[in-house]
Amino acid sequence: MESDRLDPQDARRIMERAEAAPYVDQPAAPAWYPAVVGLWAAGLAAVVTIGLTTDRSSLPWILLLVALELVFLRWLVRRQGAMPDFRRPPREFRGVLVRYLVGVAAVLLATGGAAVVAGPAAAAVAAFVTVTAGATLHERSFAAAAARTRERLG
Amino acid sequence: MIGDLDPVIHAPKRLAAMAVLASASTATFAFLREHLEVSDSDLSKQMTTLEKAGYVATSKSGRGRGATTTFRITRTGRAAYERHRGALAAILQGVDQP
Repeated sequence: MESDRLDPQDARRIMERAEAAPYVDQPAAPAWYPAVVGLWAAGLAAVVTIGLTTDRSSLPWILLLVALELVFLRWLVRRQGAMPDFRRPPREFRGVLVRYLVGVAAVLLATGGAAVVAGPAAAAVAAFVTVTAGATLHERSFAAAAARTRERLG
Repeated sequence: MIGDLDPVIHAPKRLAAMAVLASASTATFAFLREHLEVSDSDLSKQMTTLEKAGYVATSKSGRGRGATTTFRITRTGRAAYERHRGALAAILQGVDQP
């Protein structure tokens, strides 16, 4: 039987490479991706700020943005083939996750601060700039970690 | 320890498929086929075995040539994979430290 002949060390190599595959075997994000994500975030920042600071309901716009996000995610899943879940990432990716969380916190602070100080337009600009820059840096960080992982696993 | 290895998972192609799915929220048929370097029919056979064991769930979207088949590991499958992974680690520990 095939299973009886599988050497444990070969099995470990198979597992290591396969567990890393969702992180390393992915096409690079398209060049427009960071700016599109930035635009979406700008829209969300604006409608949320308007909803919180005026009597106008922003719910329909939020639902529209959520629907657009779901369509985008569906496209992304098909394009990427596998979405890593970060339960047990290759060790080269631990820094990527930490930097991502720090980036999200920075975006929220910048956008929230702009919203409080200067209103929805400022919040939208802050969101667009920080999310576009953050997404660009994240993609580079992710690609670098993927390259290091591929090199380790051979 | 060898007895703790899951015979469904231990076959190389199914082991690789389960390892991919254990690290991903979902994986498409095309992604698994490319990673495992197998034919469509071979992958279908392997995934059917995993699905019958209750380790993998399948969903299909779209129609015709644009249709996509996506797999995700089930709770039962994740538990089985983790047990298998643990058994393999125990075996290897015995090999690495005689």
